[in-house]
Amino acid sequence: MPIEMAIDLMRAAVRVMTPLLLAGAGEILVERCGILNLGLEGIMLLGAFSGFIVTYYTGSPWIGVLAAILVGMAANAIFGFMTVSLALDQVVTGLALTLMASGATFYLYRAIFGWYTSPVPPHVTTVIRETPIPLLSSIPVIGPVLFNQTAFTYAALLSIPLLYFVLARTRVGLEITASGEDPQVADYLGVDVVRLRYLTLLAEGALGGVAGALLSISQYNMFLDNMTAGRGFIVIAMIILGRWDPLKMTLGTLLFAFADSLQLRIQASGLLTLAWFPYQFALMLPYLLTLIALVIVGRGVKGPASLGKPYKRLR
Amino acid sequence: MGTEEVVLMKGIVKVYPGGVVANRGVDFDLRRGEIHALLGENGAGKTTLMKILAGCLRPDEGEIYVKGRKVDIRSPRDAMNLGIGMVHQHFTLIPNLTVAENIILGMSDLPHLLNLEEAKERIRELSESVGLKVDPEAKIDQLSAGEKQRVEILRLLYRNADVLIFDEPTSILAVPEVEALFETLRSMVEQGKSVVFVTHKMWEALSISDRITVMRKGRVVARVKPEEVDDKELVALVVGERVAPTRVERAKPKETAEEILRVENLRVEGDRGGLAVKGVSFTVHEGEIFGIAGIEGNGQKELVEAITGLRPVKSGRILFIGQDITGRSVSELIEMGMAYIPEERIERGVAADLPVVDNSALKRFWVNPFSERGIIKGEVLRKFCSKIVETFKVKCPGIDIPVRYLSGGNIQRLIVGRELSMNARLVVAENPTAGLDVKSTNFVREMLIRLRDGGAAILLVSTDLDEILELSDVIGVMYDGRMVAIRPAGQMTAQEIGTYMLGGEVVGR
Amino acid sequence: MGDSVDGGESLMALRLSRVLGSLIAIGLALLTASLFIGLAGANPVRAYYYMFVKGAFGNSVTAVETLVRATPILLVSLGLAVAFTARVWNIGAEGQLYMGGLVAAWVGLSLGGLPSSVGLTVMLLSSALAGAAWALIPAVLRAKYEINEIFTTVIMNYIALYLVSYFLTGPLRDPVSQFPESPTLPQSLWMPRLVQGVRLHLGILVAILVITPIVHFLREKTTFGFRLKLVGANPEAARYSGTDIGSIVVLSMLISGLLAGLAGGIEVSAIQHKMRMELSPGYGFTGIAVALLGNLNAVGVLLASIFMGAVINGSYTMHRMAHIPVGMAYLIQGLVIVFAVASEPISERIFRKEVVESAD
Ligand SMILES: Nc1ncnc2c1ncn2[C@@H]1O[C@H](COP(=O)(O)OP(=O)(O)O)[C@@H](O)[C@H]1O
Ligand SMILES: [Mg+2]
Repeated sequence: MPIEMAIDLMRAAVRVMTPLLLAGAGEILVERCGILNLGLEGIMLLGAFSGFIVTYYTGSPWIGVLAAILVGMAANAIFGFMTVSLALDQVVTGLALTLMASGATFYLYRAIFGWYTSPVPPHVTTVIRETPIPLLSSIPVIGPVLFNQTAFTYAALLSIPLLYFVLARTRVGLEITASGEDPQVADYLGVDVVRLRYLTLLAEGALGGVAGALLSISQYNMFLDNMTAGRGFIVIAMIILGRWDPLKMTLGTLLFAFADSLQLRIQASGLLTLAWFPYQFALMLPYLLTLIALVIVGRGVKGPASLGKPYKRLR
Repeated sequence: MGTEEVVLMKGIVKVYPGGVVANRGVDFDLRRGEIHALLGENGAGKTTLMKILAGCLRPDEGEIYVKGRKVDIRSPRDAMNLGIGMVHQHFTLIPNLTVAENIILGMSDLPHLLNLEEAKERIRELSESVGLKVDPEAKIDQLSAGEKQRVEILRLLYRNADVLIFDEPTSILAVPEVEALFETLRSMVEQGKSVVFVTHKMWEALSISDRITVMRKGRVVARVKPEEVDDKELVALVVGERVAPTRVERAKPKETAEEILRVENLRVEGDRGGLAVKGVSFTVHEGEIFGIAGIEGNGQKELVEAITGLRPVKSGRILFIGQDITGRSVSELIEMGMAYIPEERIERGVAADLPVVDNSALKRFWVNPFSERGIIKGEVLRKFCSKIVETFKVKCPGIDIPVRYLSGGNIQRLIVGRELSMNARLVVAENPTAGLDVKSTNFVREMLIRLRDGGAAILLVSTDLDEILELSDVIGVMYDGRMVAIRPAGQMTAQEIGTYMLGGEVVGR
Repeated sequence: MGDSVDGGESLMALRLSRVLGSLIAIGLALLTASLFIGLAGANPVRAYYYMFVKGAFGNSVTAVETLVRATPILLVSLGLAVAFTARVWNIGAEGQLYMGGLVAAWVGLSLGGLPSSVGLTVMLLSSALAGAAWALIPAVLRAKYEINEIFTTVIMNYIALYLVSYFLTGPLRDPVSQFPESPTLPQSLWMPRLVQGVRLHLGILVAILVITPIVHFLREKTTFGFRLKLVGANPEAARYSGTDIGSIVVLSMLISGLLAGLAGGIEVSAIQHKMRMELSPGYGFTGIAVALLGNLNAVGVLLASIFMGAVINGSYTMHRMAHIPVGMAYLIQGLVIVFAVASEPISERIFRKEVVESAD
């Protein structure tokens, strides 16, 4: 039935969007504070890995998520030390950390599980279940799409208006914005830029870690090499498309999530048997759409004035 | 007013990470209800000392007492809590936030949930009561320089600062605005506040202050009262034993000088859209220094960028040695002999991470004899660089080290050397001496005059009126994107120029 | 300060401090990795012995294998060094390499009949052009529309991989193979080997003896290289002194795409003799680490490539003899790049002590 298929598709899109939203919320926070963290991809990958391993051994996805949070925060603390305390180049440091995460997880996975002995790779069985919200989840269409999801989806959906509110209406939001526009001035006016940058980075580390863990323990139930597949970069692209506005970024991630869910469904459905539509083009779809979106709305976008520029406090 | 000391700084020593000793044991005191001028030439260490007091820098040695209590000021927030606030030499405002947001930003007792409405209301009240009008809802980038300064002052008052530090506050103002600022300062000390007024201009110190502390090379060399010194004594104190700046003899302007630059009805857009240059016309001849006076932000920057090919022209024409150069590329203009000493030295004038030798050849490396068929001749480059370093006395430990290891003055010598070594027909110089010590300033000015005498045309854009008056053969004044007056030097007084700079009409002309 | 203008001592000191920084980075990376080796229950000293002495340079066969590994890394990272010098962040070398490999196989399979030298030349040229073409898209988007190349190149990696996968399961698939791979190239298009019994192929020599010096010359001796550095160091100063930034962005991106594509073509011609999904174990990303470790300088990049080639090649021996998973190479690679970036303040300090402060 087409209507059920549509609901199912939208529900999947929201689920796929969840990690993107969480990671995006974290990255918006640090970028508004003046830091470009291209290590996000690596953070997510580390989160996916640590979340998976811990869940695999403890049997508790919640402990797995907690581990992913801690690992994400630790990784971003390193990023913070290099870019905030040592004032190193943010682009290079971010790329380095992403490569490092890729290499480390690749090795550790093999160190822990050895070579595959069976065609089925190790996977987790205790997954995070949906928590339908009473009443709301029985609303037609919207109910199953928005209110029959995991707690993380609710948290992600709530994080966006919350982030918007924090940036627009609170003291810390004002200080973050100022640090991203002109850290020197913010510093002279009494804002502790360094502390703020570390704090936003830790928050992002936690959010990015969870985002990664959701991929491995909620969506795939296993860990695959480089399973984030560029999502960390895509999220940042969506932030650019959304002009650092959490609400607009949400639309961008929805686009990617929708395309991603759609391609899964295309693959699962019989459409594949049609020789004229190779599955690779389905897989390509989310990336292609992101690229096209960048070309159409991503031209000459200017972010926070000090985004990506190292700031070394002189005292 | 009493003589109670609100601030006492003792034996302050500050060494910058690069090794520059900016303060070498400075004592400074500020009494309640006084305006205390801190006078000294550029580089004397005034800003450093005041940044230490305002918590922006930490001293390496020394003690600070505020209102009788020994304090340890670790951050601007600490200073703020002690009632110390500073208006910096450059605006400390976030352009795309509102006035109100800029004023409350960074306050330590701000509630976590902002109440902007209340803040705006308080700002309105405050601005009425002290007579500094600003709209709290305006975005900073819509304000004029004078308005921005008012926001900075309001910010200090909003935070209940009673020790107010002003670092070269008049550098962005025109003469009548300076008067208004002085009024504001006087009314503030009447309310029991204390003011430090940092300046390198003697007459300002003499006319506004109750006491003057003179700094030279990181030390305090005198504490005087304005009524007890005359100009000559003060000059000696400020510049020290050195001979006062000598005026260079200049050659007589040629009678039949060739026209080098002609700007016709030029219109140029600013960064935020809208015209920044609104129909400007003038000519500069060989052997002539054409000085453009004006307050920062009246279209000078856009005019210069249009002439040098860095900014598109909206309408009008630019002719350079008789050719229409409107829309030509920067490299063509350089090859035709246009030199440009930019105001933004680090941002534009050099690539700080590249070695001195590369930077010295920035304008030449692609032409013969520096390269041939795309291949650079390293030895030629090195010789050229060594010559610049010697002739222009650039102090550097080696021509292969990155320029960022050079001091500001030496970077400027390198830039000036580079631009003046290209046999230019036209030199565009933008605030070429800003921030330099007296020695370097004189050096740069001498070089410009020597070049002029050699037949080059010089377009000098400066916000320093003294510089314009000292160097120019012809003076133009820019206001609001227009050239409001052009006259041979000597036919306009400083007062008249100041009036034009503010958009006023000079009566009787 | 009279003798301030030196004859190049400071230049030597600057280079030396950078080399020291890279060596420190390698040392720290190996030290950190030894913790993981220890955790895996092996003796790090023995493990490294297997990796570097036995595995990477133990005899002529393994040494050649190290060079076989180093060659695609060298080509990729030379190109990336050019782009990175201008601070053009081409993260898409992997995709460019795959496109190069794909086009090489396609051209090679449809050439037929041509004499070996002509066929090889045509095939490799087309692979290089394919890589460049793939890089051209993000280059133009950046130069014309200011769209950040990092994101477009990352995205184009995935598009390239799926495209290759499509061709290898569809139009270019070997009908008799059960894997997604192209038919084998005619022997005339196999890169000639120089010595019997080892895989010392012509491509290795070309990469080391021809392309490395060319890139070195380009970067250090030409006005183009000057402009590259200028745009990288300060785009505003570049504009001010008459450099067209857009063209430098496009050219540097094209060069890196060209070399990545060529790396793909050489891998197809010399190693695989066909196009496969497993053409590269991430050479495009290893190249990023190597370019930075080599301080973007062609000589440094050459040495860093051989180091990474040795690590990858040696990791197999390490695996066999010390039972350390082969992924060790990628762990070391990740650690090396992080430490290489973090060692910058150390080189800076060394240089400052040596030259700047001692001059006063
Ligand atoms: N951030 C800095 N790093 C290194 N040296 C500096 C810095 N700021 C100022 N200096 C140097 O310290 C000296 C004093 O500067 P400053 O306090 O700004 O003097 P003034 O305000 O009197 O012009 C100058 O030689 C200047 O070049
Ligand atoms: Mg100063």
